[in-house]
This record gives sequence, structure tokens and C-alpha cells, in this order.
Amino acid sequence: MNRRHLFQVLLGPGLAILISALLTAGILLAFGESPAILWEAFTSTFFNGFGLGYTLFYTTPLILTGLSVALCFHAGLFNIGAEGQLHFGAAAIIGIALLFPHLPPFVAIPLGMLSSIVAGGVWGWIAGFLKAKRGSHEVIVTILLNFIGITFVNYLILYPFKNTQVQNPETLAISKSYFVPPLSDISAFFGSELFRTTPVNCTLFLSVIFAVICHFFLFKTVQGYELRALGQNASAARFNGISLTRNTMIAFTLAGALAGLVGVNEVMGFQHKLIEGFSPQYGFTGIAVALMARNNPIGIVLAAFLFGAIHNGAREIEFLSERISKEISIVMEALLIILIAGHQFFIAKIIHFFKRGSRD
Amino acid sequence: MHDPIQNKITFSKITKTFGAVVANQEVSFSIVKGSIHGVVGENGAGKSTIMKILYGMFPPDSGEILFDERSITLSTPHDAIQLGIGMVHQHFMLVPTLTVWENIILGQEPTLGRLNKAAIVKSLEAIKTLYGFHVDLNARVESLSVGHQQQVEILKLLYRDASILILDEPTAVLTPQEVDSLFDKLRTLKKAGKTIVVVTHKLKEILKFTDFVTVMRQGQTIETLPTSTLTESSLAEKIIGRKRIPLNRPQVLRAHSPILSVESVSLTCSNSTLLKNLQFQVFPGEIVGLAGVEGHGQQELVEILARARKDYTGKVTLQGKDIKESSTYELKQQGFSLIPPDRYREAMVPTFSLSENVILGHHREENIKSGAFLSKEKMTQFARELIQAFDVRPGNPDQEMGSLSGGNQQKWVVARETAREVSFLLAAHPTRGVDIGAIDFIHQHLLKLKSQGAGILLISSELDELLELSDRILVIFQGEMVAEVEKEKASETQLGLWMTRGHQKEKCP
Amino acid sequence: MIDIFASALRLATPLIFAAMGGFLCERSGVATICLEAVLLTSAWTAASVTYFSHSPFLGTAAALWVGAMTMSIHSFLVTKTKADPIVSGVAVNLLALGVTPILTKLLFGSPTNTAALPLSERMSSELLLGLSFLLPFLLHFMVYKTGWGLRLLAAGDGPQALETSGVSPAKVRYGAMALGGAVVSLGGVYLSVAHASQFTREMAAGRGFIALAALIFGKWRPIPAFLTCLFFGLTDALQIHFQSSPLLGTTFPVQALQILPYLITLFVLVGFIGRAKPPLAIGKS
Repeated sequence: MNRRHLFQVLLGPGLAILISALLTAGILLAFGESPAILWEAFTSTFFNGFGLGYTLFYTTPLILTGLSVALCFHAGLFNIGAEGQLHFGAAAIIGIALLFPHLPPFVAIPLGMLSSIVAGGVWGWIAGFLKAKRGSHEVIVTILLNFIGITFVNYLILYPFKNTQVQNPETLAISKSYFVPPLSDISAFFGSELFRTTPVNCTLFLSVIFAVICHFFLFKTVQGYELRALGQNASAARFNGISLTRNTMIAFTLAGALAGLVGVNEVMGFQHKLIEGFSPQYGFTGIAVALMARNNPIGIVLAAFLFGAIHNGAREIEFLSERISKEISIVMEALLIILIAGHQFFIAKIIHFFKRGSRD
Repeated sequence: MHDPIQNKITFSKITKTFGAVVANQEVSFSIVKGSIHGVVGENGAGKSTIMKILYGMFPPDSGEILFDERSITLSTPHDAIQLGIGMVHQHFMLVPTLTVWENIILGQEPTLGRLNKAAIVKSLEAIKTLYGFHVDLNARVESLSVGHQQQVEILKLLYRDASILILDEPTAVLTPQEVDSLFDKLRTLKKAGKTIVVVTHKLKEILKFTDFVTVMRQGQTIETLPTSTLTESSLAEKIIGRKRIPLNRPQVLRAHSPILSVESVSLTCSNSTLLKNLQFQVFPGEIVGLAGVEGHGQQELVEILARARKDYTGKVTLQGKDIKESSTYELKQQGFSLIPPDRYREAMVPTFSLSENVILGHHREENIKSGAFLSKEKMTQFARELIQAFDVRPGNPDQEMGSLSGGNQQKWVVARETAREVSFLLAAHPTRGVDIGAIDFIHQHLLKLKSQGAGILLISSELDELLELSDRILVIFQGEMVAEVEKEKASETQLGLWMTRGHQKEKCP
Repeated sequence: MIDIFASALRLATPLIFAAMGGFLCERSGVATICLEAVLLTSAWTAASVTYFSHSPFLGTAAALWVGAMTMSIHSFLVTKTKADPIVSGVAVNLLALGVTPILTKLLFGSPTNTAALPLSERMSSELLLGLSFLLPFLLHFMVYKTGWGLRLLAAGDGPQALETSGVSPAKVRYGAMALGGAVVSLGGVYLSVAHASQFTREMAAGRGFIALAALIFGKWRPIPAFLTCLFFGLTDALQIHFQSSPLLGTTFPVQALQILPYLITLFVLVGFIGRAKPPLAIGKS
């Protein structure tokens, strides 16, 4: 990739970040807050161990849902269903952990991960199956499956898996052997206090490894070639022996499996139980992440970090400001999606603006 | 021709570019009102572009259009409609789910209040009888034949009281008989004082039906002259800019056993019969042409042979083996090759590079991959060899295929499909949308494959192409094989009649 | 029993408005998954403006305008910036989800809800309910019997044909979607100032998506979609009923009924109960 090409690739997202930051600062000003708190909030999410720990904790699920969405995008499919798939993955871990509480860690941890992959994968496969075999539009199907899946998982949380000792809608805790070690344990091993009391855990490494795997899968393997060919031109793929049905199901199953892994971060890495409404729209933010990274798996790691920082920074803003609530992060996300989705239009407008400026 | 600028539509030095492509370069010519004016040229000569400029769909970069003596600006089709200009596009612009009368009034209807259907239908019936059209106003457009859809398009213009009618490749999808009937209607319209502009690449129609011809080549106007001064060969030379080399057809002895055999293949889809008891064979070393009006089952046949659909009854065998029993990949290994009808949609992935495209369909072969991975080196090496053999330009294996010209794209598809040993080739519209140079190259390549012993099934809507290349010609009509004829005994008129056999039946029961 | 039916009608009303607005938007050829966003912004506007102006009618007028504007963001993104309609829909949904609690906190101190309205300042439920029963028939006439409707249908099923007929499909879509947004807003008004007396965070609670499901179940036709909304209202009413009164001595898991509308729509979509076909311009994307 030459320098000019890299510049073109980074121009859109870079401008989008800049403009949305300016817009957010504008919102803060309009609400009578100093835009300086935006800077304060974001430095605190990057430049100290505690803030960075939380940012990375939010980055982990966003890498996974971003990959989930992007994988389907490459096959020409829209996966809006990551939200439901990750709920299924998380619930499966609880189910397995409650069923086999006494396994040693070296069995329990892989088993927990596997269960989230399988459960998410199955829920993803259903969408793929309905699209491939019945021709139903995957966007509407995955929206419906989200509601069905989340409601079903809420039922599991409130009835079979309920911790009746507490008022909150949450499940019983899983046994210690299922715990994925937090990064603070590792830094403590080296005598450092980095990430102390933050929930970021080893699932982060797992998600980065999956990003690399996805890259190789999509761009270097025969199967990845088939998915991309299908996504770029479905009828040409069909005429050349690339099965629409098979690949649609593969794409959705893999996407579901990736989203399902979010459960590992949440349940095995942090809460050690499942709480109703645990996901702050990770599945939908995954769409923004994939869009920002133009579906490039390595770019997704960076974009996920950005969105993780936005999410974490917004909590900081809520803390620093009397008037602004943490939903400012959702607004920023929405602005970023809008700016990137329409980037050609907006860039053309900006160029037009400067050209006219220079002529006058 | 006497009064220099009166009663004329004049294009003056119109230039239009799309990115780096110059579609029209200083195009200048005049259309005399009340005449039938032909605009001819090869694919990509810029004929459609200049007409779309006249219809307000593209604003020109420079130059102007004069209407009588006034300079006019056309920035939307709405402006053109206001001036009495109407256009029938190559791909019809109809709303399939609406009825005929709804389509005709679209854009002219009062937006407020209830539509008065009775009054509208009455006025439409009057126009229908005046110009001799036959189409059911209450039918849904999606249920009409192509010929009838074209009538709806023309009625649409007449309802708008258009005085200048532009028809872009109106005969591409019609049989010779339907073409005659279309031009009869156009003559009636001319008598009623309308101006008609026909864009086409078919020389015979130009010579037979028009008053004036403008020849275009590579985005420029070459000449405008009265049709009566031209012959077919002189016109062809003006269009191509050189003489064509006649093809040398090798004769190959017919083998005993067929390479491809289609046995009682039928296909029905939601109660309509798409293919009916098809029965034919293709032998090694012969080219079998399949003639027929588009939409009479050719696409379905291609899909069946390409194993893109399997819901048919009957049997198709390649070298004696049922194709349902092999995968597409295995068929390709047996030397089955396919040039699909719609290059851009079905034969290539525009956003993939040349080297990624050249392995499409062969991407599971051992010489491309190592393990589960694709080998970039092997792909590039393979692409380089083919670029040289087929003279594809520009010859960079990493270039996106979508950025190549139509002719080079098609050459690349042919290169991919014939790089390995070919036993059977299904060539569907192999030269559609391709410049003359590439057409000659592809034709010669097909004949070379034939002389090497490949069996070829050639599907084309150009009767000239079929007559030039085929040894035998089959005719398909409404999904049924209605005729088979040796090349020597085939004539264009007879083929045309067979292609519309059903219409003849309907008229005289 | 009558209680359940009365409650079914009340619960169906916002769905009907949302589905009818969605009908206009989708028929114009733009996939519209952001009905939820319009319900949220209009509900918030109705509650806030009514609170400060003491006039529910002013509140309603403001909500209609804001709803039309919210939907216009979507139509602008799709027609002007050529954004993918699904991506744009997701963005507009997120925007509404974020903006409403922020504004609530700014004006009322807490992000969770606006201040309660006195009974005298609430909108008449009966008026809106009656309107929601008239609307499907009115829209049926407007879309299938008038010239404006013809253009709307053409924008959805053959935008190129419309364009070459001298009518800009983009303009038709802007108009239809602004009107559609205003219609959806009536559902938001109903939620915050007729059915309830304040706006609460995430008040739409997925109703925008249920309305979309009803629209699909009704095969993108107004009257079948209307009947589907009534049916979904009934399942919702039963769900609430069972939540409070145990069935056969055991507590009934209400999730089973919550799932029902989605599950039924899924079955339709999958083709078990007749195939649903979207407007052609939507099916392509």
C-alpha cells in the first residue's frame, strides 16, 4: 500500500473523527459547559492505567462485534443480529458453568469459550439459514431474531438461572475455575499496578488474535475468497460454482460465533454472572466500528479502541459535568456513522467550500 | 436541407466526459424536423450519450443545442418533456407493478384529488386507435411481452404530445417481423408530423427505414448524409473506419458421440412453463447456434447448463455423465467452459483485480493454492501469461477489472474460460457490448477452439453472428425448440419467422 | 374480558400510527428501520413542549414537526449523501436514543424522565384512538387512488421510470417521508401525553420495530398492517394481564407473549404463511 493510497483510506475516518469531535464540543458549549471537559475526559481514558483499563475493556466486545458485522459485510450480508448473538453466547456460558461447576480451569475455560462460540454461531446460523433457504431479507430477520433472542435470554436470567438471593435481575455466579484472568493479575505478576481494579481481561488478546485470523481468512484462504466474491458479485459467484446457500450460512455462523465470544469478556472475564441488559448496544456499535474500519479486520481493532474510548470518555463526562449525561457517547457514535456513511458527499461539500473560499 | 437552421435541432460542438472517458467530443449535427433520422455507430461510439444529453439526463460539459434558432438548456428530463422531446430507452423505463394506463400517465397526472380513470382511459383509447397500437390498458406491465412494453413506452410519449421521439436501440429485443411493425408505426407517426430519431447499430434497418443518417465513431460525429446515398458496405466502412477481414471457417468432421446432450429438459416456475421438452446435442468440433428472441428461455437454459439452477426435469449429460452428479468444479475440470450472457453481472467481479478474477471458478484447483491458502505468486504468474496471450490492456495483474474497457473485460473472461483444455463451451452473447476489434478476436478464438475439437453452443441475439459462425442453428420460442436447420440452408427471414412462430399462430388460428 | 380488549386497543394505537407512517416511507422506496427514533423524539417533544406551554395541542404540533424532521434526516442521508438506508436507519435510531435523555437531563435535571403533566394538560386518548382507526383507510385512498399516490408507488417500484417521466424520485421521497415521520409522531404523542403523562427514557420500547414487523406482516399494505397492529396490541394486552394475574396457579413467563409478535412475523417472512414482498427499490438494497 503506497502513501497516497493510505492517505485516501484514512482521510474519511480522520475527517469524521475531527468533525464529530467539533460537533460534540459545540453541543457542550450550547449546554453551557466548557468544551475543555471533552479533552479532560479523553485524556483520562488514554493516559492513565485506570482509564485505559476501562477503555480496553469496552474495546474487547467491540472488536468482536465489529468483526462479526464486517465478516458478513464482506459476503454482501448485513448482520444487525450481533446483539442477539452475543446474548446467546453469554447465556450459554452461564448454562454450561452452572451445569459443570467442578471442572478444572484448563477444561472449564476452553469449554466456556466453546459454548459461547457454539451458541452465538447457532443463533447466527438461523439467520443465514432463513436467508439462504427461504430468501428472507437478513436485515429484518436479524432484527426479529434480536428481539426473540434477547427476550429468551432475559427469561433465562429471570427464571431458570435466577439468583433468588438478590433483588436484581441477575443469574447465579459461575465457579472460579471459569474465570478468565484480568490483565491486572498479569501486571501484578511483574510487580506493576497497571490496570488495577479495572475489568480488562485476557479476552482482549483473544479478540485481537481473532482479528488477525479474520484477516488471513478473508484475504488469503480459498473460503475467504469465495465469501468476498459472493459479496462483490453474487451472480458471478453463482455462475462459477460458489454456493450462495453454503457461503451465506458460513458467513452468518462465523459472525454469530464471533459475537458470541462477547459473553466470554462479560461473564468469564468480568461480572462472573449475567445481568439483564448487560450490553450497551455492543451489537449496533459493532456496525459503526466495521463501517469506520471499512471492514478491514486490523482497522477494526483500531476503530474498536476509538469507540471504546468514546464509551468510556462519556462516563467520564457525566462525572465531570452537571448537565451532560453519558448518552453523549451514543450521540457521538451516531454522528460518526452518519459522517462516514455519507463521507463522499461530505468530503465533496468540504472541498467545494474551500475552493469557493480560495476563489473569493 | 435548403433552409440552413430553420426547423432543425442542431447539436453544436457538444463535449461530454465521464471521469477520464470522453464519451462525446465536439459532436455536431442537425436533425431535420419531420424526418426519421438514424444515428449509427459501434458500441461505445457515444450514440446513447448524445441522445441522453438531448433528453436532459446528462448536462454537456461544453457546446450547445439549438432548437430552431434558439439555444436551449436541458438540465432534467422535465425540461426536455416541456419542449416536446420524448425518449424510449434501451432498457425500458416502466414500473412493473403498475398497470399500463398508470405507467402512461406517470408524471403527467394531476397530483391532487382522485384520479379519473374513466376519462384517462378514454383519451388513451383515442390515441391507440389513431396510431394503430394494440395493448391492454388495464394489464400490469410485468405481465406484458417485450414488444408490448415497447408500445407502452411509445404511447407514453404520445400521451405527453411529444413531437420529437428518440428511440435508443429499439430493435435489440425484437424479431424481424416485430421490427417491420415498429417501423410501420414510426412511419405513421412521421406522417403525423413527428420527428423520429433512431439510435441503432443495425445497418439494414438504417438503410431501410431512415431519411438521414449520422455516423458516429469514438465519440465523434463522422458524417451526416441522406440515407439514399448509402449502401450497406459503404455505411459499414464509415462506421468501422476500415474494412473487415472475412473469417475463415474451418471444417471439422463430426464425431460419433455428442459432447453435450440435452434430453427432454423442461422447467416450470410458479405455473408458467419456461422450458418445454428441450432436446438437442452438441458434437465435438461443431458450433451450434441458438437463435431466439430474448426472454424465450435462453437465460434459463444457461442457468441449467451452468448448474446455477437444478429445479428442472429431464437430463443434461456432458460426455455421457449427468451434470447433476458432478459439482460445478468437477465440470470445469472436465473442460466445461462458460461465457455468461451478462458479462458485468455474471462473469466477473468488477472490484477484484485481474489476477483474482482469472481464478474465479478455478479457485479450488491445486495449481492456484497451497493448502487452504491462495498462492498470490501462482495467481499473478498465471495472469501474466494470459495477459500476453490475449493481449489484454492495460496488462497489470493487480488492476481492478471494473476499470477495463468492455472489450478487454470480455477478452479476459474468454481468456479465463479457455485457458485450460476446453471440451464444451457455452458462449452466451460473447460479443455483446464489445468493440469491433474485440469482436473479431473473439470470433477467431471461437473458431480456433472448434478446430481443436471443442463443441460450442453459441447463444446470440445477432442473427448475423449466428449465420457467420454456426454449423447448425436451433431456434427457441417460448421455451420450446421449434426448428433446426443446417447453416447452408438458413436464411434470416426464415429464422425470424420461426422466432415468432407463436405470434403467427395467434393471428390465424 | 372487556378490559383486555380495551387495553388491546390502547396498546395498538401507537403501533398503528408507527406502521402507517412506516408504510408511507417504505412505499416510497427507502428501507426505514428508524420508526423507533421518530417515536422517541416526538414523544419527548410532545411531553416537553406541553409541560412548558401548558397546551397539549402546541405540544402535538411541535412533535409532528420534530417527527417529520427526524425522518427527514434519514431521507436526506439516503437520497442526498447516498448512505446505505440500513446504516442510516441505525444511526438515526442511535441519535434519538442518545439525544432524548441528554435533553431530558438538561431541562428536567434527570436523564430518566420529564416532569409529570397534570391531567388537564393531557391529550385526549379517544381522539387519537379514533384517528388511528381512520388513518389506514385514508392512506389507502391517498396511495392507491390519487396521482400523488401513483408517484409514491412509482418511486418505490420503479424510480428510474419516474425520473425519466420528468418527476424527481428524491423529491417524492422527501415529501412522503416527512409526511410519514409526522404520522409516526402521532404515536409518540400518544405514548407520552395521552397514554402517559410524561416522557421516560427509552419509552418507545421497541414499538417502532413491532410496527415495522406489522407492516411486513401486512405485506406493505395499510389495511392488513392496521389489522396486524390490532392483533399485536391484543398479545401485548394479554401479556400485561398475565403479568398481574397468575394463570392456573403458576406465574406465567410473560416473555412467551412478548416474543409472539416477532415470532409470527418471522414465520411470515420465512414464507410459512404466504410470502411478503417488499417494494422493489428496497428489495434491491
